[in-house]
Amino acid sequence: MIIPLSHVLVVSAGLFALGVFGALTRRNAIGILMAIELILNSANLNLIAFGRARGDAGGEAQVVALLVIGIAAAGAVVGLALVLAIYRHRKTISADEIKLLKG
Amino acid sequence: MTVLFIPFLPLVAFFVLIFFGRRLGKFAPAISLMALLGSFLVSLELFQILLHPEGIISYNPLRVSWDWLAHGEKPLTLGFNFDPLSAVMCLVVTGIGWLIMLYSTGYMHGDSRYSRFFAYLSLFFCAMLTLVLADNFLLLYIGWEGVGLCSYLLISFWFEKPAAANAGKKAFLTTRVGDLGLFGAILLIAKLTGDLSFADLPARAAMLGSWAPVVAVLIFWGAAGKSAQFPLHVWLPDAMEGPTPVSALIHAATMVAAGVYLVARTLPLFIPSGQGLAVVAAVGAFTSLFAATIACTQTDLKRILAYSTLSQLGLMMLGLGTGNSFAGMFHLVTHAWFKALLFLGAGSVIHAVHHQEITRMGGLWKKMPVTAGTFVLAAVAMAGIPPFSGYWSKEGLLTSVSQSLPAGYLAVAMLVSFLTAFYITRAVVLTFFGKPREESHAHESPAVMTGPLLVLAVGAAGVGLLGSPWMGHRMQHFLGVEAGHHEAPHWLESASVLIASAGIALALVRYGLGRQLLPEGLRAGLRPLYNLASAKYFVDEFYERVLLRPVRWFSGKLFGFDARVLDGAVNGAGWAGLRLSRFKRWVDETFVDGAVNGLGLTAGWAGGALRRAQTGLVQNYLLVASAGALIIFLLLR
Amino acid sequence: MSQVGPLELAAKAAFYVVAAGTLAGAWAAVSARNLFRAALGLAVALFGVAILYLFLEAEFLAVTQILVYVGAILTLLVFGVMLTARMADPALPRWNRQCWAGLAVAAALGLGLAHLLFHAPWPAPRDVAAPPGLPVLGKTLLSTYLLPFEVLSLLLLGALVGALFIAKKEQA
Repeated sequence: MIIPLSHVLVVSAGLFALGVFGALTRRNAIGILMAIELILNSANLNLIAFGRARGDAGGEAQVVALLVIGIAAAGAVVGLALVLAIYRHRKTISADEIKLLKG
Repeated sequence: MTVLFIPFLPLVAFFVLIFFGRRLGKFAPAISLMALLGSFLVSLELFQILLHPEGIISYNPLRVSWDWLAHGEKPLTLGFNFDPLSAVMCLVVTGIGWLIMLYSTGYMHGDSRYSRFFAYLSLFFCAMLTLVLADNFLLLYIGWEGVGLCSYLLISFWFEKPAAANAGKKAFLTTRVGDLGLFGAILLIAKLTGDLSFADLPARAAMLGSWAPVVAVLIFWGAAGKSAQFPLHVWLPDAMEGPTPVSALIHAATMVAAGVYLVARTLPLFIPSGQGLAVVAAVGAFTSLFAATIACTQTDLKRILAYSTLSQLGLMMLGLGTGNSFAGMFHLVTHAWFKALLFLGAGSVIHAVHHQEITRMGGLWKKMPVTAGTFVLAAVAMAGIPPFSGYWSKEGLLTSVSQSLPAGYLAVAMLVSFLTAFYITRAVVLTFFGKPREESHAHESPAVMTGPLLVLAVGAAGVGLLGSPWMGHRMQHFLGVEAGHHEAPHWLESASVLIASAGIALALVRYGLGRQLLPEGLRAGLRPLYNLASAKYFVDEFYERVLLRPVRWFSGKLFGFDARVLDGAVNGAGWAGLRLSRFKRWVDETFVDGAVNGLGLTAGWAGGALRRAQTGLVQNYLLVASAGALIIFLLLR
Repeated sequence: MSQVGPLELAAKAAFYVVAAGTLAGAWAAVSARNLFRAALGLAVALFGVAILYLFLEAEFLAVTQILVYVGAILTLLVFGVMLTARMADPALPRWNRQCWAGLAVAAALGLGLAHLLFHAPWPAPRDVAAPPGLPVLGKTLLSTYLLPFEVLSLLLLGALVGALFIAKKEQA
């Protein structure tokens, strides 16, 4: 592998940091979901990078990454459904305003 | 053992009457009368045994003794001993006492504290009998104090009258001064002889050594207090504030005789030192003359009798001062009878006319014949006219004095005899004879009062015969007095009768016929002396000025000290305690409550503060979680 | 890694370019005010990650990434964006109130990780004769990871049903 492992991992870390930043600061609910997808991606990248560095014979890294993608998809689906439902009720998807469970 | 009944039956009566007296009401006296009668009968029975000692069985009914306190080698004992001297005293006390008690059921009738009177009387009898039956100084002293207490209780029985209350106080305090002397003597005897009993007194007297006169004088000082000898006589006239039966019992027949009994009992301690006897004789002689002169000037019937008692007691002491106990004791016995009779008769008169001034009486013999008759008999007996009791005892006394003491004492004794006859006749004439000076609704007293008068009259007439030659000096033999001293010289017999008759005659002339005895000039010259005697020689005033006022001043100062310093300290402590507790309360409220409240406030504040973390915003939670993860990450690096 | 040939050098440079692009897209995804632009940025980032997978010799995963992430999830997100209108409103602020705290935490995390990663003593990468091909992957998926695989199916089913239920219109 010509690229040093640490460089790849740094990219992953950067994605992760950006994703956390977005999750914590975005007002729009869908924006938050996007940021979460970024985080998951960074985890996947990590997995593959390590798998490659350790000479992943059975392809286990890829398999696990696959599963993660699947989970991410499920999460995104449900999240979006929720957002739609809330939007219908409150006419807003700004996370700031969705504070109370009631009503 | 049996001897214990004598003092303790009245004690039982006392307790019964104290607790149940109110409920018994009219029948209260029955309790004490029965108790005292019991004591009298036991005394009589033991007397029989003393006369015929052959029949004594295994245990001795006459004496009993217990060990009381362990002290040194010999324990202090308590014991009662019925010996001849005690026997005489017991019979006199219980016999005459019972008659007086019977009399007082009538005299005190209707009084609001009827039952308590008899309770006190019973307590008195217990104490007096303990005194005369004691076989050692300590028990005698206990009885001594007991009669002092009862005297106080009975003199101030009508304590609503300030005069009575003060008289009680005066009596108690004056005799207390005397008691100190007796107590000092007891201490000395204990220290020097190691034994407080009355056994072997002649032998123990030797152990006193140079202290013998001191011991004798101290004992006599105690006797002087109780028997009202100069200078401790001042309480007796004032004690007349008490009910008349009390005067009859305590201040004529029994309690004042205690002093005479004490000296008689301890006479062996007086004999080794001539000074002891000399003091006794001198004080006795002086007192008897002193009191007799005052008696001639008094107008209150009871006061006359009181000073008469003082005078007769002085004669008894004079008799003891000759070293012959019989001389004093015989007169004690006869005096008890006729003086009790005189007092009860006076009580009868006072009960009838409701006052005590002889200057307002007169001609009462018509309305109260029994009283008058018995009173006259007693007066004659006291004057010393044979064959009545007073003659025999006085004659014995004069005999003894003529044999053992310088002639001056005999002269004084004769003068006193003269004055005695004079003043008692004066009293009799002014009270019962002549024209009534006031209208009165007097009538004879009820039988319960006149009965005892009659019985006492018999005694007053006849008891002297027991010591007379006509009965072979039975009493002297009983009391163990040596033979040979009994017979009186003939000139003395005639002289005493003559003197007594002269006194009576002069009084009859002066007060019966109203004629003056002395020429005008002499009378005027003697007037100052008369005034002096009438004012009781200012003894009370002297005491007041010299003793009482400084004492009162001092006790006022002590009171001030107590009120300011001691009470101030106590109050100050209380005030300080109050301040301290206020401070404590402040501390408690500020700090403790503050801490507790502070905890509550802190919890509330913390809760309020923490509540703000629950924003409801997911992103906030996420932020915190991320920060936490960051921290952990940093820590693990 | 002894000699660096020109091809390798080019490859390395390409890598860094792709990495930069990915990060740029990611930054757009989290910071664009216009959500549509954010979605596009996300697409760029996802593509970039797929290419990185290629660099790491995980071809199948790269393809799957594009198919699923870009093709499905991103489409879904765009649907969501469209459906909920108000795409860009200049009046509304972009960030919420904890933007600075979030920035701090994220930056700390990122920098900390970076620092750690650079200085960690990584062991030398092991080269394998042949990177795992598709058959090997299939075998692993359906043997060792069979259970997770099946559970994932269930999960997707559940997500599907749940999403339908949540998002359906209420019967008036």
